[in-house]
Amino acid sequence: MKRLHLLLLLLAIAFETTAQNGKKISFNARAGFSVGAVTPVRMPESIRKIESYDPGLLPSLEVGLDYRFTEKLGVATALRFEQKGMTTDARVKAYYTTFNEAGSEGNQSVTGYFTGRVTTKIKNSYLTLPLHLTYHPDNDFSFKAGGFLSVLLDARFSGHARDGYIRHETPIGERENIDAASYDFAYNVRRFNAGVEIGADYHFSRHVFASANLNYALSPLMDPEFHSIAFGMHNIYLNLGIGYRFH
Amino acid sequence: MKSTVLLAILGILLTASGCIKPEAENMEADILVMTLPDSVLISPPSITNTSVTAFVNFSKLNIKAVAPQFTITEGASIQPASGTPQDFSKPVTYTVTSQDGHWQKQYRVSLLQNLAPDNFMFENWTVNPDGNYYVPYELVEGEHQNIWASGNSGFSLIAPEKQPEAYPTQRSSDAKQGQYAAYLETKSTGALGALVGMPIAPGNLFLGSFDAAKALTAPLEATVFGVPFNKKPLRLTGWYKYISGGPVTDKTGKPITPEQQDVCDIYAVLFKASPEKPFLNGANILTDPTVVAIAQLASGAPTSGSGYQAFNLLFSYKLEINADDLAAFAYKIAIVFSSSKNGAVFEGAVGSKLYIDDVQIVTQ
Repeated sequence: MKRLHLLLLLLAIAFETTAQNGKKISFNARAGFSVGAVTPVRMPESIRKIESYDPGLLPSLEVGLDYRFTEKLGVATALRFEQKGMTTDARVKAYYTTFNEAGSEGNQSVTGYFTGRVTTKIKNSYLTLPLHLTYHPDNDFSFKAGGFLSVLLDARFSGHARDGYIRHETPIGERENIDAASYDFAYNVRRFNAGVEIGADYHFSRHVFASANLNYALSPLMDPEFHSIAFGMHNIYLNLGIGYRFH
Repeated sequence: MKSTVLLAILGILLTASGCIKPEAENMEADILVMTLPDSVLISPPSITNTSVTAFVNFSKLNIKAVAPQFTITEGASIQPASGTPQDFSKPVTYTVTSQDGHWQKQYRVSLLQNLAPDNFMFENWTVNPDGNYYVPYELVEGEHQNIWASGNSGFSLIAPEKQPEAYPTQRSSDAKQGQYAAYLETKSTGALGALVGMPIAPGNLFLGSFDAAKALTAPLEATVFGVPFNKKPLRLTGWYKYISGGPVTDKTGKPITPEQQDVCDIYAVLFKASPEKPFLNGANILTDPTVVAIAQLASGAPTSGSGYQAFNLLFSYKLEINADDLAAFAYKIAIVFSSSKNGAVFEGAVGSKLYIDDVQIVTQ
């Protein structure tokens, strides 16, 4: 362990030298995966219990650009392909929703208050442009904070309900038992997603680093005119990855 | 190490937003059960989303002061209060307010006297507030009897149309007598209906009630057949006109082979009800061992010309009738009309049209 530290120290000195030599711009490539959730800001009362949660495998790939304007401060941007999604199974009570068997293209649907089990599958692919201020206190760590703007490449948002009943339109509407009803809201996922992101890199060596980013979308996941789920949903994801820095 | 910390942070963030909130107060406002002394009830009350109907023995109560007990959604309240005497010589409106206080539903509670009508002119129609569709009712000595039901409430859930004229079961001014006739038309239920294996909805009309909650999961059991009857039926007579919609399609929406032309169905069934089995339904109405007599149209083929044609169907008895039980309302009768004979299993032809008017149960 001590040897490793010594090695890192030596590498750090070497790196510091390079930095001081005026190499202000560096490029990097990074691969990782995300884990997180699409979640309401406040959990609505209609969700009674999360029976299961599966983050799924959500890969990300990124090429980045760092610029140091002082020894310790800089800016960074990147172009990142990423996926954000999850599969959940929840027990709900009087959960306002729409079942549109024919998908969002169809105009046939049942809307109302559902009580029972709802499985939701989300997997959205984005092309993301982050913009960070970076802080480099030493050669081991660098920290970043900023924002991101994502463009939706592909949307998957579907699910089904079972073991329950729906009240047609209002909580006092006609009651209908539901064995299996499905819905697809992919069409209503917003084209753009933007929010804040913080992160840290740990430099194993001059070239190789590990990184962790936590991002939270300030913009809701769904279109403003989407009302089939009564609460706003936001992406919150942790991305873990390994990167390579080109000096 | 770092990632563990960040995972912990994520966990905290998710927990902050993700705490399950205390359960909200109930928003529903249902009458679940109506209780009256057993000696008074002729048959269990039938409860829909906005009405409660029960046949009672008027000789055993004072109709001007009956005090039914209600079981309602947990936490909800009911006005007038459960167990307080009301004048049921006309239907009484009860208002149920949800536990959270935001939702109110009105129920029309009818106690019908043991005077079952035996002729039906289909002159009186009301629009059901839940789905905006027509329902016929009978007036017996000024008493408003909601004894007819149809599958319209099931249709209202899956078809987007909202006009009374868009429903499979409605009224028509093309009548044999009076102003109106019953008009049943087999309709398409659209993309949603097709996906749930119910591509068509036959026009149907029957004595009994429709349990809308079962419409999608157990459609044959959703049609609850039978009203109390205290006379021995001999014949079912009336007038009808039928236009077939053409080749029958199956529940996947494909034409069945060999090709069959859609036909209508008209029948009446007398059965002996029991506390265990107070009603029959679409699955057993013609086959149940409690069936005493059936009168059924032999062929539901299209009627000739453009006018009404008479039907006169003999009740064929399978079991002896017990006169004492008959007088005590142990028997029930169901009359069923359908614009597609196998419409209950979603076989039929869209556009089949059945007009019915001036129906009578000829009794001994």
